[in-house]
Amino acid sequence: MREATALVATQDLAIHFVNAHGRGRIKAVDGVTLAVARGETFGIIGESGSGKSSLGRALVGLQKPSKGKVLHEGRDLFALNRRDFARHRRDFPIVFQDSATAMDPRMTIAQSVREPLDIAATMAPAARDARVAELLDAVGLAAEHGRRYPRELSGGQNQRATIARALALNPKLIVCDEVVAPLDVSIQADILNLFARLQQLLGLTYVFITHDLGVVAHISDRIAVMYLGKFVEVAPAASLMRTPLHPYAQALLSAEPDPAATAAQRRQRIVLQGEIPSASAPPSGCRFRTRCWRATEQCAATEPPLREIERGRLVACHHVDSTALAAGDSAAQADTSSRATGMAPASL
Amino acid sequence: MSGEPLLSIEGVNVYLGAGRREVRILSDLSLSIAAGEMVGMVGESGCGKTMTGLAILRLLPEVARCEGRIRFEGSDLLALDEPAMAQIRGRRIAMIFQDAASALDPVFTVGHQIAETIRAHFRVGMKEARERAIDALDKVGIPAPRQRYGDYPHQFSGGMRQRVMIAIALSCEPRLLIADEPTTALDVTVQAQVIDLLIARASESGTALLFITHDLGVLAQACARILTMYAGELVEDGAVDAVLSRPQHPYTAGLLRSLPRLSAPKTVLPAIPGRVLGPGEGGAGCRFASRCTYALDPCARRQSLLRLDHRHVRCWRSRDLDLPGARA
Repeated sequence: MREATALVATQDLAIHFVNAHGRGRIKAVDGVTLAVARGETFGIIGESGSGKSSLGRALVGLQKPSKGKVLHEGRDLFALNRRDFARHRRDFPIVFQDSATAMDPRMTIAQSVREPLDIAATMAPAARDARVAELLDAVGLAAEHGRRYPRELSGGQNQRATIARALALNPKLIVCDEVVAPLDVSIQADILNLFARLQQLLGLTYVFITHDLGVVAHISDRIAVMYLGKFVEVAPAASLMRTPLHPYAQALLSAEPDPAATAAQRRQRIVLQGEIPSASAPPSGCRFRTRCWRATEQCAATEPPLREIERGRLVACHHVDSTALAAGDSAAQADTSSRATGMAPASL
Repeated sequence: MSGEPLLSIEGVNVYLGAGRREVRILSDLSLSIAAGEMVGMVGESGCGKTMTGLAILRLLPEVARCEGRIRFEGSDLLALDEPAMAQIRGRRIAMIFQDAASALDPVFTVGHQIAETIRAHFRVGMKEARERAIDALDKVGIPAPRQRYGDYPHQFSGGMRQRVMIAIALSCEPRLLIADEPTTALDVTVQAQVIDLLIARASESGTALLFITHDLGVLAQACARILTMYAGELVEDGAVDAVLSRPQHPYTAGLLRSLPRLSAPKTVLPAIPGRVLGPGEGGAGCRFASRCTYALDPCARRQSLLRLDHRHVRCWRSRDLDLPGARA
């Protein structure tokens, strides 16, 4: 994927915040390079504090990077003048987790969905109401829902309304930040189906940010696994789910409770020790080494680069090479039990 | 199961509101939990999971009315006076809530809050209570417990706070622990640690567990038995492995089918059509009927919890339905 032809790309993107005490920097995102192709769904998975939301905000221009670039169709987003910047951002909306607070409580659903049309003013005022009706219909809301206020709708209905609003200006890409996290399973399934249908219908591109492995695996073409501000693995969704290569990706897959797992599989899972370290003082070398059962002196000394070990598969780990892939699924499976017991009790 | 179960709930109904506004939020709840048993309760928001926990501890909001029988260690909880109930709460039955940050008092040290619980139930001095509290912190895997005793809740991470909650809940060695979504706010890797800890500590002390969650995966990991709740009713009760591989209530099957990780990538997820009935909505019949693909005329009649082999199911068709499970 060449960055120039990508719909959205970043080059060595970093987002640093000055911490509350005024000393030290929190490195929320620390050197992320990615390229998302047209029509693709790119999933980003990580735990809280991994920097995935800051990255998502930078992709749509809501967060200025401290270093590096965000490229929209090859153009540097933060180098644009104010007018071009504003116009560009219309093609790249974001949908957030908490739909109830993302909507103005004093505006009806229809008014909220209409607001981007009014601001952009690319459409005749008379045509806007028809467009709102069309948008509500596209996300499965009745015209009657449009006359109501956010507090009168359920969580799933509100999330549909925020999606309608994101679609208002015919975007090219939507960044979805934990959009189904607060929803019940059956409603979550409805919303995921809606995203898939809209993608087919409108040729949309998604960046899907979530902590939920089941969700990201279901919807994504490619997945990036993020840990403490960096990508540790990027792979096609199916390959990652079948043979995760980075130890953190392996642990994440193994820790996610799977109702279909047998009792024996449940006992074999890898349970990591400790918690994600602070982004203001990340460990030296590999950032995952303090919780990793494969960590060696080399991991503390030098940071493993994100390198391509097979077409389309990138891993940042000193201990992973292409032989790990060649060994195949069965070896990866057999390795799991020894890992679970041979884990170093890393304390933080 | 031999002899009397630790907890038995029979025909419990819970109503909210007054007079004509009164609505039933839990209906005809009957279940029992044996000593040391690990039971998980699953269901979507508003199905009455938390209300069940609160009803057992008699902590329902004041506008609620509870009828039926809740027997625990031989006494009828609904008939006890308040001082007797206070002796049971925390000592014989403890509860852990989802949000450890707001369940802990921000102005007292965590050690003080554990010692306070111990002193409320045992006749021990402050020094002894302190030692027991430090021991409790140690048992839930808090590093340097003697130093951390004097720390305030805000000085702990989310996962560590939930460990403190577990320490408080288990400090009096209760016979039953009700854990209401204890890991929902935690990250996956931390969640795995907390579940393991909860199971290990509960089984060590022979404490029975009622684990309330909306996450079937978490439940499967933590429990041996599953209770499925739907719209204020218990609809299925059986062994975890049996229910997940062959659910007998259409709602349990629908819940399993709609999980993204169980269907092929990039396919349409089989969502459950329609929406759940709110409290007070619907007639006397099956509350799931309007969303159920297997519904027939008799579903409009009142459904009772039927006993089938080792399972309880609230569906008259369950014997002839062959529903797909999580493991094909």
